[in-house]
Amino acid sequence: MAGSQRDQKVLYEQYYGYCLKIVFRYIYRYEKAVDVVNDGYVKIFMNMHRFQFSQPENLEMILMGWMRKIMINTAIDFLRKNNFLPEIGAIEETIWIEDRSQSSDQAMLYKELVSQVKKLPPAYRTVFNMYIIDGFTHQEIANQLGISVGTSKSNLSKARDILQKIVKKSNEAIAVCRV
Amino acid sequence: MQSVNDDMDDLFRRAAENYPLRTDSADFNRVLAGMQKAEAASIADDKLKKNSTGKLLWLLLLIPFIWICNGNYFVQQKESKQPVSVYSKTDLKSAAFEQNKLSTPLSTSIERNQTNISAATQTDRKSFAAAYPRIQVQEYLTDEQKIEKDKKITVLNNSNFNNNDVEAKKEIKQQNQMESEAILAVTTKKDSASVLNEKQEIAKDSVNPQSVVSLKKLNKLQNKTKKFYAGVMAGPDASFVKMQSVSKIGINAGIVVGFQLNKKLSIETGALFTKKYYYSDGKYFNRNKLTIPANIIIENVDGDCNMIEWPIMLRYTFKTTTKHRLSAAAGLSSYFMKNESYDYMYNNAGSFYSRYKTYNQPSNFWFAAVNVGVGYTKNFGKFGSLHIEPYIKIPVQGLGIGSLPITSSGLLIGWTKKLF
Repeated sequence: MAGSQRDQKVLYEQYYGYCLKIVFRYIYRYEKAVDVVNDGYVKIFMNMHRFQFSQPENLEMILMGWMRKIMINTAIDFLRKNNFLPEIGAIEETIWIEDRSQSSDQAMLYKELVSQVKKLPPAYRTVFNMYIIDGFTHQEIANQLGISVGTSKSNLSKARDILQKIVKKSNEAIAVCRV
Repeated sequence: MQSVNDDMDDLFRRAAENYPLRTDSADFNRVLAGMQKAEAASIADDKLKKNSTGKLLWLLLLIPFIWICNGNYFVQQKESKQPVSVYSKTDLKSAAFEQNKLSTPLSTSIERNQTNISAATQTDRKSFAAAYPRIQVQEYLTDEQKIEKDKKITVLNNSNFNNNDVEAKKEIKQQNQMESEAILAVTTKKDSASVLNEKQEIAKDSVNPQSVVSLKKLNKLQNKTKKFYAGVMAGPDASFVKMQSVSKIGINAGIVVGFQLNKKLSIETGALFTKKYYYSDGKYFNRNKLTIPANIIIENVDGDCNMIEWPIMLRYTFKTTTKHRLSAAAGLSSYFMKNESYDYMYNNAGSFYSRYKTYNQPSNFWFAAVNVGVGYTKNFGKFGSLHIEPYIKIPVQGLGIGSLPITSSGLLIGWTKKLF
């Protein structure tokens, strides 16, 4: 798998979308997220010899987990390089897929929720993504980000509060529209 | 509330997996270019590592040469071969006779010696040769007897020799010089080169036939204990503000010097480079030194700083054996801040932001902490001592731009050596 360029290209194209969706939750700008994904892939290909698995039947799952970890680490490195500074400006609409199917409402809801997560301050956003979505423990987050466990918990709690308020507001707005 | 959180978390998890993001921006060529760059960088890294390993090996090889060039090797080797007893018969014999390539019969009394000296001055060189046994006589004499003997010789020199008898005087001087060299060759209690130099100076004094106190001086010197010591210390440091959590473990490293006031008490100072990490709630952070708008509330800060610490400590040794020593130390520490950085989490009109800022302006905090420690010292003789000391530093005033009352505790491990 580590071998030829063709294999690498197949792997890249196969999991590009999966990796971009992970990274885009952490990185505010789409173009930067694309750069981070490419950097992550460089790490994956350079360290492919370190990838080990014991259960061949679950190879794809193990590989995806490994790739997810590398992508998150690369995204955090990028954020750290920028001192976790908050970003300004709106998210461009062109980055979303237009869905006219029946599930478009759900897609819109998901898009809105992810957008709200992205609008959190980077420190809160990172802890929220790592703990709630990617399943890291507070200790792991603290080690990874170089913060204390207390800070990690506090950041998560504040992120949750902000998101709850937003979800509540949007629910109220939907209710008003229906009336 | 928990179920609301769980539901919300689940909703966000589903959203993260299925949100409609455009994923047609893949460009494998950029990955290839990145890989080429990474490979080139890793090759350069390997070269650098090889070079630095080579340099380290060279440095390690140079250490014995530095030691030898310093003279420690020869001094220690010479001293280790010498017996500890100061006036051993064999040593005196070998030192005096090998250096001067003379062999003389032994004599056992000062009277005999004095007679021989008189004979030497009055007659010829043959009888002078018989005077050398006075060197061996010393091994049976106490210090007082030695001084008495020197006095007698001086009196003899003054009374028996004429001013015109220059040759005879020269011979006596030569004899005295030989004797002092012999003494030098066997005095081994002091291990430092400086002490040896002092001895040589005293020995030179004894060349003068008028001098009668050289041996006494020599003995005094040997009995003198070393009072100044110095060493290097390093260790981990955990810092916290008002018993809040420890953010990360810092370090301490530096030098200490001390002076022993008496058997129990000594005074110590030094300079330690200190890197501290600490976390604090916003309420303990003093904003007076900063221009922060009033509407901004600091929620919490994660800080780190680089400082030079100047401790002044009084050490009391409460248990001493030949190999081990237990002591307690207390004193004050001043800090010279080099730079400090803070990761602020602040609240502005209900929105939360984080900001990282570094302050590079140096500032001094005189006697900012009370320093208390308990030390264990293991003595390794002439090589020095291993010192281990857990400590706690309680703040007297706030440190840094936020005047945070930083309490530190940790462990200092180091090597100390008595100097002079």
